[in-house]
Amino acid sequence: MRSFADMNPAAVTVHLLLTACITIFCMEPLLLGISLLCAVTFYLVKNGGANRGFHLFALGVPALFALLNPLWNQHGTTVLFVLNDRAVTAEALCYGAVTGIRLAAVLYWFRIFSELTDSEKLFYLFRFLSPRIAMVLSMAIRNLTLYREQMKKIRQSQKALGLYREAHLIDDIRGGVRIFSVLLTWALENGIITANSMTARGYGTGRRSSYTTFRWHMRDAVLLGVSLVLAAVCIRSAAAGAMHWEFYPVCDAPPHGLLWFAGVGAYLLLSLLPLIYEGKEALTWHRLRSRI
Amino acid sequence: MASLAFSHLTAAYPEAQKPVLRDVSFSLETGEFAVLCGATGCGKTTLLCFAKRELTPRCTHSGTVSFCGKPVESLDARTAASQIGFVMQHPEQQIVTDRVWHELAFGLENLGTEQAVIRRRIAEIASYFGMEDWLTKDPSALSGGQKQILNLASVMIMQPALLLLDEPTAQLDPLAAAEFLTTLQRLNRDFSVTILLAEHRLGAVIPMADRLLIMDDGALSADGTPREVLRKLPEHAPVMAGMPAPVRLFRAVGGTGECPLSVSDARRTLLPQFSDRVRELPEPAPRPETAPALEYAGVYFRYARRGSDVLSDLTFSVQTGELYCLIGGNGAGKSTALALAAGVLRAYAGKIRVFGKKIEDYKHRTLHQECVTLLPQDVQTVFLKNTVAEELSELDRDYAQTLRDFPFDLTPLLPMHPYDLSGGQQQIAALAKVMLTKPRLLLLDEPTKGLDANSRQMLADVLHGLTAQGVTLLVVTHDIEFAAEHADRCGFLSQGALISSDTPRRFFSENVFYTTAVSRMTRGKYDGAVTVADAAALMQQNGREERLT
Repeated sequence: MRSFADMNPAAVTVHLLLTACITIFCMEPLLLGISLLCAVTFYLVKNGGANRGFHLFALGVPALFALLNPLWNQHGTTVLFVLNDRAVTAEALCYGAVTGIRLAAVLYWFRIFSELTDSEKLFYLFRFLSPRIAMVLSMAIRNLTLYREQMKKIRQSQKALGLYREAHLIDDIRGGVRIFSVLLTWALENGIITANSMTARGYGTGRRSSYTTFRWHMRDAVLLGVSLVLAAVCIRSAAAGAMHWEFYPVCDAPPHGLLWFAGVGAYLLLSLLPLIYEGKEALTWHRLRSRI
Repeated sequence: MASLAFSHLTAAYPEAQKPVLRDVSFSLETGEFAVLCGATGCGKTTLLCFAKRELTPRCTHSGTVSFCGKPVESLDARTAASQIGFVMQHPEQQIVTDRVWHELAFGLENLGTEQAVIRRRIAEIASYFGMEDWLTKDPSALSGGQKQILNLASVMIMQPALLLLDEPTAQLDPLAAAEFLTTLQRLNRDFSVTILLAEHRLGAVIPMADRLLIMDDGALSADGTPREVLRKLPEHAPVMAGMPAPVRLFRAVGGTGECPLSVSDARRTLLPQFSDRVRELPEPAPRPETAPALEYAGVYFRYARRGSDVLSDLTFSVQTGELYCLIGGNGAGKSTALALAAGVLRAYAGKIRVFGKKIEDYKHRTLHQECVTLLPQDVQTVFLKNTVAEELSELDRDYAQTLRDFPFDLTPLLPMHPYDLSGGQQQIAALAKVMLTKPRLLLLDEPTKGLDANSRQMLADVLHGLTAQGVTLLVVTHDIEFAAEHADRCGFLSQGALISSDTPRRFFSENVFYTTAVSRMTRGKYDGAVTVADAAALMQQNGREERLT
């Protein structure tokens, strides 16, 4: 069964970034609520009940923020009660709650992004910026692994040799410095062999091509196109101020005109896209499997 | 047409007193499998590099090297890169990227090949080399043998007509080496790739080769089919010690007819020439029993709590002053057993005693003071300084005095950078450094890995010198010929337990599969012959079979 994670990383990334960014820049409680609800649902669908710690963090911290905001924030006109000579206002409470929801939604979207993206997909994305940087990054990661392993080997063999004569902190630090300096020498020697291996395979003989294991399918193009159109509608609506709430001095919602409906509707669809895709694939899979 | 032709190539590195290559001329036909051998430092690598445009050494040189009739330096850059493949010795350092598929794609990317073509080639090559399962892996997670196969595949994907290999199996264990060579032979037969392979472990290679080239101090001293060359090769040529056991036995007893290259050759043609009235050499006097230096008693170890046991009920002991060789396949737990004795790892059950004292009772790093040291597989990790002399004076200012009994003259090595030494010299320098901690028990992990026959002999002499001084040696090795020739006792480790342990002669003549080439050759005709010297002595005592016709 295909899933949203198997779509082309570029399309997935564009979709998730748009969804998260609109959440960041919009101050419309309904839109933020939709965003949080969709993100949490998608996350639960993908992960089940696992990662309780993350849920606690992503919901707890914003909740705390929402509760604490009225304590610092003295703006607003509707006083609910007075605590330690400070007025706690309904507006500050609302503002805190909405910002909290926004924060939680963004945390969930980024968490989803990081779970759908591994290092290989990240490289693929880098290739769009510059294939050269992607190549250098790939080599750097490889070398870091090599250095870490060599460091471990050197430390272990020095330990078994009895290089550290006494259980001494100073001695340990000195040993560490020596190991680091010899690792530099080793890295240079190592680099020469790698460089030879690269030129021997024609590195630098002219224009390179850049191979990736990801491909573009029609579905990726559709996802990208739909995401862009929906986000455009949403941004158009937000730019016109149709979705901007004012909280201070009093809560003030913009009029629910056509632009408001278009904006919120487009966002609803946009943040539902991953779930819609998963649902459609689950149905297809169910139908296909019943034929086996 | 000749695929590769050297004509009167002479070359010298700047500031070197003598040329590294002297008047080298030979040519290889398309599809030929040629093996180039010679002692370390005789110029094999330089010769190979001259055939690879991108790696041509910065030497002054005369003479030409041509590929398919064209001088190598006049080849177009992309042709040179793709048509001539080069595989080097170190599996790890040749790998460029962090994914197996990316490594395979790397060469084709450099040539600007299209996506669709690269995808197809990767799929093809992965299936040919049987590496589909590891395509998405990180190369550092592969075994040494797999890494080297990956290096070969990422060169082959560019469809070279000529493949140059510089000691590609030196860092591999025998099983992985055999697999690599078989793959090479398959490439040679299936695609008629011309192969020039520099190698010093010749046992498995020579029977595969069409041509044997021998280098001696920068010049080609012999060139021809293996049988031809080996028949004429002088007895004391430096490369002789590295030849396969059947060849050495043939030469040692002065056999007649064709020179046998493999065990089956020798059984068919060489052994029938001798009679078998004396079937066995007298048993050498047993080594007097001494107190145990290292004892394992019911030792269990695993790396992770939920993992499986690497050592399970390991029980054996090494006597003071003996050279004990521990052999066994990959993952049998050999290196782990050493690490436990060196105090690097800790067993979860069972006891290890070093000189009668439990290993946990050596407090505050006293275990490594004048007691036990471990020389790891990768000896480069022993060195931290810029010269061998600094390296030694770091541990002991007065190292000359402490090492006066060291059975090797270190003077020429002292001013050199440890990384510039040859493999054998590195081993010996590391041994010298280790000896400064005055260990009474020395643990060695694969000391003969990557060494040519002469360095191996040099190392063996040093080890014997140390045991004569009363040092106990526990050597973990894959090199069964080394164990047969030099050990006092051998032990076979399998699945974390010691299966058998005996003197090499009894040990290897009772083993059937895991034994020396000589033992496999003489089986059924002579008893207890495990080394070339054993077999030669027996055959000479018996004399030639008188044919009554």
